[in-house]
Amino acid sequence: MNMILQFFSAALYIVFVQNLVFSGGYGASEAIRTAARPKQLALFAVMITYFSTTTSLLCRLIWLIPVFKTAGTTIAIVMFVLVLIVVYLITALIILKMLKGAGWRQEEKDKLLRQAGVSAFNTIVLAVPFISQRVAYTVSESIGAGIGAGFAFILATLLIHEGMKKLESNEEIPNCFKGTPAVFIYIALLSMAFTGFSGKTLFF
Amino acid sequence: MKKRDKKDKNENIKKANTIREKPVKEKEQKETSENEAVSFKYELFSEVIVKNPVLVSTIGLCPVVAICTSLKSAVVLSIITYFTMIFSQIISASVLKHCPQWARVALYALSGMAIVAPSMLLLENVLPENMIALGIYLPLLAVNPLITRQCERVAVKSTVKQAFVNAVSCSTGYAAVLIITGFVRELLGSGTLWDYRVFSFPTATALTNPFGGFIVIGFMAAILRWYFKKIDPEYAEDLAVNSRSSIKKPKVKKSQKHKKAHVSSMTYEPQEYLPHQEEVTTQESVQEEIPAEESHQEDEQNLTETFEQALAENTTHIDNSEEQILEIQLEPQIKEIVQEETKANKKIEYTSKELEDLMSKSLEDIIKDTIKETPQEPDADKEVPKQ
Amino acid sequence: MKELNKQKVKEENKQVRAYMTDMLVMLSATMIIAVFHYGFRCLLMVATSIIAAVLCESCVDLAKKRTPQRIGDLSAVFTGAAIALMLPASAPMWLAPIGSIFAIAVAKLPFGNAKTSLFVPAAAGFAFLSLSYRELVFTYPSVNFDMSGIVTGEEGFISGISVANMLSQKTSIGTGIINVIDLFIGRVAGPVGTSCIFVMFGLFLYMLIRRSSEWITSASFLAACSILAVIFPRVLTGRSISLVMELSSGMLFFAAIFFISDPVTSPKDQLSRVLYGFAGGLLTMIFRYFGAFEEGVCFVIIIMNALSTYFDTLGEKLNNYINSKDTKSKPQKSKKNKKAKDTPKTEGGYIL
Repeated sequence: MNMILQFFSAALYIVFVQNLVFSGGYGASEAIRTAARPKQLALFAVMITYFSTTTSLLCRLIWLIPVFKTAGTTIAIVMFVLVLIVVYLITALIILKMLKGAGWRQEEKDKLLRQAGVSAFNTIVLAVPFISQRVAYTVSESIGAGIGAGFAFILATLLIHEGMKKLESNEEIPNCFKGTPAVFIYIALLSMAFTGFSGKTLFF
Repeated sequence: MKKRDKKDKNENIKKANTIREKPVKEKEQKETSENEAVSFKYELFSEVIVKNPVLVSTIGLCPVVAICTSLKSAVVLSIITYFTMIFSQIISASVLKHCPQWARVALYALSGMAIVAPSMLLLENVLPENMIALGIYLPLLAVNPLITRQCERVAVKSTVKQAFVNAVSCSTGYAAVLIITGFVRELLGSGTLWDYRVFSFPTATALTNPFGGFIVIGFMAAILRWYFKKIDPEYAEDLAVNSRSSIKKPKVKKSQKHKKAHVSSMTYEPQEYLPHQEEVTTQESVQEEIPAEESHQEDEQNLTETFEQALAENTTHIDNSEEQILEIQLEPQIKEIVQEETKANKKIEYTSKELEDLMSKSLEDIIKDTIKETPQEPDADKEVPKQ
Repeated sequence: MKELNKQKVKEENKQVRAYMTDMLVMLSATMIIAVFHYGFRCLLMVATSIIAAVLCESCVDLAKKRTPQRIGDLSAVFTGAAIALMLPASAPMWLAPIGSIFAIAVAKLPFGNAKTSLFVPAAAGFAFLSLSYRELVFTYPSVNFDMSGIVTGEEGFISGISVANMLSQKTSIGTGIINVIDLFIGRVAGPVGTSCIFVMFGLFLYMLIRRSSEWITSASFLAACSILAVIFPRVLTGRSISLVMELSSGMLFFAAIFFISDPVTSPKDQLSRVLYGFAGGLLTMIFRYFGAFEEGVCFVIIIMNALSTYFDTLGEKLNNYINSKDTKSKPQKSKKNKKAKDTPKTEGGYIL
């Protein structure tokens, strides 16, 4: 019961209190890109959730080994990145094997693998194990943080997409602000609102 | 002074145009080694200003927005970015060309880590306060999406030297944004510069938060867009509509808009097309007197004549331009048909699929269909002489 | 074309000006109470804030060579005044102008003009101030402290405890220092223009008479806050005391009247407005209960402005569902019902 509570509290914290994209800036470039192409959101969000959860869980489990507990931060970070690389390679091999028999075209297979690559090596995916190490999350909290990262990404993308739609139909925007600058300022104001809930960024 | 300004403007426009058309001309430049010094200058200008990674392509926003709150951090981050980019691009240009794409991505992260980890150890010893201030954002530079993007787009398809040039210019563009952001945020947010107090007026500490970073890069992007408007207004308009942060529009409209805007700048199109376009527009205004069939037939004849001329002169570039010209020429005529039918109080809603079918039909079929649908009305011309 | 544009701009200015004059009339009532309690320093603060906002907007007007100028629609005046009236009486003179400049330059001008703005500029400006200068914005002078000695704001003052602070500490009124009558008159430490509940209720009724379509949003916002204040009281002295304290603390009433009801940033349909206001109220109370600031209503306004299109679609779907249900059950009377239920959509956001 305690573990379930911890799981939900960590997930909710990462989605609403310290939204990774708005309060921390992690994955902002990917959020903007996905907000401009919302059809890719579902696949992207699922992959990000998968990678962040598995990496976070594995890193937390490896952290239980006493050798790594006493090691310095640099070695810990190198280990986290290696874990992510291994997870990604295994996932890519699984995808390739599963698609061998299926009648997919080469372009579609390449596209799926490219999406997997972009969603794996992402600042938001790599931020989760770093955060859970720094704040000393338990195992269930690490899983919650990983899933929360995916949902935080979805929330951020949907909000930015709404803003982009409003900005596209707005003709009164000054010419030098049309497009990217207006989107940046929109995200800035939303980020201000999210920061107002927690007062300051706790994840550093 | 005025003549000089005009000359500079023309040169800048030429520069920017040549940069935009770079993919077409890249093959020519590869062969000639004389153009290498010139290409480095253009590459630098292109990556730092025309296609700035943060302000135009919105890549790698995380460190800029979140952690670049002082000039020191900016310098440290930009040095690390330089080394990671150069290392990754050289490796991918020399070794990773024959690797499958899905495996290459993992190796970029590994190469990034290979630079970031030693630099973290160095920083721990040399600048420990800075290391604490940078926190967990420093190792995130290893998975900077800029590295993956540039390696996949440029390094894997070119020589080591070109990859090096591209790495240096991209990192310069990124570093420029980092340093300016760090400078502004430190000055206005903490009142210090390189940790020396500059003024003691209560400062807007909010700028050291991530949303302050977004505001600063938003205004920087606006200033850059204003600069583009001065040197190349078409590019600025293009960016306002088709940038990485604009909602993707259906392909048909995009290609038409694109080609319509850049018809004048395409150097390989023969000049005969421009007067023909003027003919079409005048025909539209005279449309009420000439019945629809005759004007379409005339257009068809004009089109075939110009195609024959074009075939005679430019055989290599016709493959795509035929369809382009057909699309450009057909659109006003289809617009006329739609206007006529709506005038006859018919509610027509074309979905994008129907429009594509219309475009693929020949003119004769379209005219036959419209004649079948509209009931035969008494001609307005016959009524006039009765009066 | 230019003449058409000029005409269009003039009409838009007229619409916005009509709405803004109503708002400014309401703000002047709060200003009178502020001067009554805290002296003429408040007027000076409001004046500097308005001047800063107007200068900022007119600079852009001149730079873009807009004719006629957008400054005539009085929205910059409203922004400046609203920001100044939410600050404490002891705030330094430079605080309100900085907030106004941020509100106009960052939250309004990159998105166009008053009719096309995506956020309420005053709420964004105040949110910026509360994040940057937290102590200056949330420490209020005590009621018994003589404010005539303070000119620039650098002088020291005795700080009083605001009602919002009391709620966050879970201490209640009525124990001697403050009672309910003080809250109604506004004789309590708090923001300059938002403390007097009597005036706020008067403005609420004025809005019902003059701007009934925007009043609906405010009413549902306050309803949601009241419901949560009654169901989950933060103080132990009873639900009615909790209700009075929650509604009189901070800028909740002020934001309900002036910000959440802004017709440009709120949904256009009546049903959507009800849902929008209700959701805003719920979110405000969540920010109050669990957030880091004692008053987070301005952050909530920004988030709700971002979500307004979702409420538009939600209201539309609900309306279609209700209408389709009517057509199924009563086929003959349905046409009459449809006309009656066709909710008056406010085109362009303002009704003259």
